[in-house]
Amino acid sequence: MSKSNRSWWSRFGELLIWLAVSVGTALIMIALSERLLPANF
Amino acid sequence: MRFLRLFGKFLISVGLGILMFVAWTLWGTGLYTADQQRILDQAFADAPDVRHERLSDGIVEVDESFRPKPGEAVFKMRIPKIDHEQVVVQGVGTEELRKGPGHFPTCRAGFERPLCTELDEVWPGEIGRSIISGHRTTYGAPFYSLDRLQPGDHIEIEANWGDFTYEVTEKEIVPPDSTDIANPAASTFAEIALTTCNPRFSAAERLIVYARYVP
Repeated sequence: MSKSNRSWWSRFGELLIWLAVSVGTALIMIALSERLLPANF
Repeated sequence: MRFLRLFGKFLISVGLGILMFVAWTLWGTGLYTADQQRILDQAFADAPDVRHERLSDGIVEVDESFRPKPGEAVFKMRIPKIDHEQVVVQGVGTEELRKGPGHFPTCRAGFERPLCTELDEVWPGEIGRSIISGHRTTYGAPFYSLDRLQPGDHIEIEANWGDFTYEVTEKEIVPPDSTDIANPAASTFAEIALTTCNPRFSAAERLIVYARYVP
């Protein structure tokens, strides 16, 4: 196992990017569900 | 190897997003409805009495000048058996049902087909079928336990033209595109029909609970 030399800022930046992917996925699914599900679901 | 690691992180992120979506759908939407219900409750309490005529056996005829706009509070509904108490709004569109259960309106300005009927508006306490639609899974899920109602259970309506108690008579499960509920044969009695998606967490069918006015 080699130790990564990445800085904490780099790791934090990557975490933010993946968090953005999560939030984006949630928003897309919410938008789709509002369109596809019947009004009284 | 680097690609696999990246792809794995991507899948974890998407999975987390799906969990966020489920949490929002099941609980987050309910916060919006709870907030709207607080506002509607106050609006209902402040609303003036609605002009109406009392007929025999507790039946009323609400004045035609009562024409609430989409999303306005129209009456309060309690179903003790399933611990339900909410203000019902006018209209059954997406925006209206986010606030609470909705009363099926007559087609006029603000209400377009198929979310309205060409028939005369029927309010609780009037002869005819008054239809109320509500969410089963999202936005506070007011009709989550509607399937637990049995013949004889009571549904109480508090309106600005009187209080009315209805007794459940039957339950029915119909296809989701069925419109028969909105086109009843000419009624000689006052009834309400509560409708929602069925089963829970699905829109494959529609559940309808009929209740008849008991003077």
